[in-house]
Amino acid sequence: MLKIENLSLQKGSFKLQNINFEINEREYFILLGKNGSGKTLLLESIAGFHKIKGKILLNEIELNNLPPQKRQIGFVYQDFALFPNLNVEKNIRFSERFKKVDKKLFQDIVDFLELNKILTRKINNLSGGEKQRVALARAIYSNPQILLLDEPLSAIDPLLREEIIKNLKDIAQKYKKTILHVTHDLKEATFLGNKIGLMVNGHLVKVGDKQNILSSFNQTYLQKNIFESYLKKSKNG
Amino acid sequence: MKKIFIFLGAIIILFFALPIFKLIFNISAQTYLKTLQDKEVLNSILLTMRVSFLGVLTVLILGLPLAYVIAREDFKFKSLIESIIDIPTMLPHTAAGIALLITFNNRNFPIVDTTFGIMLAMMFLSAPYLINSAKEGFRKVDVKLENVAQSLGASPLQTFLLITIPNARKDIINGMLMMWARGLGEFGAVVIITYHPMVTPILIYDRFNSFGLKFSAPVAAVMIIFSILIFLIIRYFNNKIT
Repeated sequence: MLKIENLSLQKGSFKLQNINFEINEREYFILLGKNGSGKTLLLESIAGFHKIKGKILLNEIELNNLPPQKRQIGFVYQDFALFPNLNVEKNIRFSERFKKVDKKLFQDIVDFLELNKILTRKINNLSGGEKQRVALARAIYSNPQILLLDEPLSAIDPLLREEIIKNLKDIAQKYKKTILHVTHDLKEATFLGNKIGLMVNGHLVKVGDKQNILSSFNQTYLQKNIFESYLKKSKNG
Repeated sequence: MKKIFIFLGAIIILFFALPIFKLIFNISAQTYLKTLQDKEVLNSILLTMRVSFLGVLTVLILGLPLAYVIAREDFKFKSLIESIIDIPTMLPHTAAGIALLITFNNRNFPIVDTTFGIMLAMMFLSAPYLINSAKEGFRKVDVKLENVAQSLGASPLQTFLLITIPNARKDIINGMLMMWARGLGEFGAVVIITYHPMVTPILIYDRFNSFGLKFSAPVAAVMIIFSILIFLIIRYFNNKIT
C-alpha cells in the first residue's frame, strides 16, 4: 500500500538517509526510535510537508509531486494541532469543505470516541485526552487512505494512556485504517504494532514483524539506541 | 522596589493622560455642541478617518502576504526587506512627504491636493505598524496547524485564509488599529502633498494659525474623543473574540 524507496532529506545538519520500507493495507506499522532520531521528519515527508529525494508510492501512485492536500494522508501531531479558531465540531468537519467525505460517518465517529458532549466546546477548554480524541476524529473523518500518528500518546496523562491505546487499536479495526505510528515507547509499540521499524539517527536500521524485531536485537543495543528514554522514564515513574 | 516602580509608572501614565484630559475637560459642553455642528470640522474628521481606513485596507491586501512570507520563509535579503519596511518610521515626516511628491506626482496623475495623495502619505508612514504586527502574529501561529489543514484537503491559500489569518487575527487587528490611528494623526507628510481638502490635523493647525488656541482646541478635542471611542470599541471586541 505505502512504499518508501530510497527516501533522503537534509534539514539543517540533520539527515534522513536512504530509507526504504513498505506498509501493507490495514497494517499497524510502528516506527520506533528515541527523540531526535528523525521519526517526525519522516512522517512529515510522507505527508508532503518537505521535499525529498527518493520515491513515495501510495497504492502504486507516486506522491512526490502531489501537494499535501492531494495525498489522501491523515496526520495527527504529538500536540494534536487542533485549530484554536474553531470549536470541536468544526475542527472535525474541517475536511468537508475540500473533500468528498461520508457525512454519515461524523455521528459514528463522534459516538465511538465519545465526543457528543464536547462538540460545541472551544479547543482551549479541552483536556489532553479530549484533544487527542478530537484530533483522531478529525483525521479519520477526512477519510485518508493512511493515517500518520506522531507520538499521539506522549501528551496524554499516563492514567488515560491505556484506554487511548485501546482506542487506537479499535480505530484501526473499526475504520479499516492503515496506520503508521511513531513512538519512542516500547509498551505502545508492542501492544499496537503488527510491524516495527527501528530508527536511529536518521537511518531506518531494521524493519520486520514485531516478534522478529524485538528478538533480533539484544537488550544492550535496544537500551543504548532505542529505548533509553523509555527505560529512564520507567525507572523514574 | 515594587512601590518605586509603581510610582515611576504613574508619572509616565500621567504624562500621557494629563494633556488629553486637560484638553477634553477644558472645553464647555456648549462649545462641543457648536463644534459638532460645524460642517467643516465633521467633514474633516470623516475624511481623515475614511482615508486612513482605506490606507489600512490597501496595506492589508498588499502587506499581509509580505508579512506572512517574512514570518515563514528564510531567504536572501530578508533583513534588507525588513529594514526597508521600517525605513518610514525613521524618516522626518515632511521629508517623506517630499519624497512621495517627487516620486508619485506627475501631470497625468497628480496627487497634489487629492484624497489619494492623503492616503499615500498616511500609508507610507503608518504601514510598518500593520506589517510588523501581522508578522509577529503569523510567527505565533504554529506551522503544524497549516500542515494539518493541508493534509485535510485545504490548499495553501485556503489554509492561509481559514487557519493562519484567523489565528493571527488579534495581532492583525491590533496592527490595523495602530496603523489607522497613526494615519489619523499624520500631519507632516500630508501637509506637503495635500493642504486641501483638509484632514483634521491640518484643520487644527490652520485654525490655530488663523484664529488661535480657542478655536483649534475644540476641533482637537472632538477628534481625540472620536478616535479614542473607536479605538476602545474595536479593542474591546478584539479582546473578546480572542
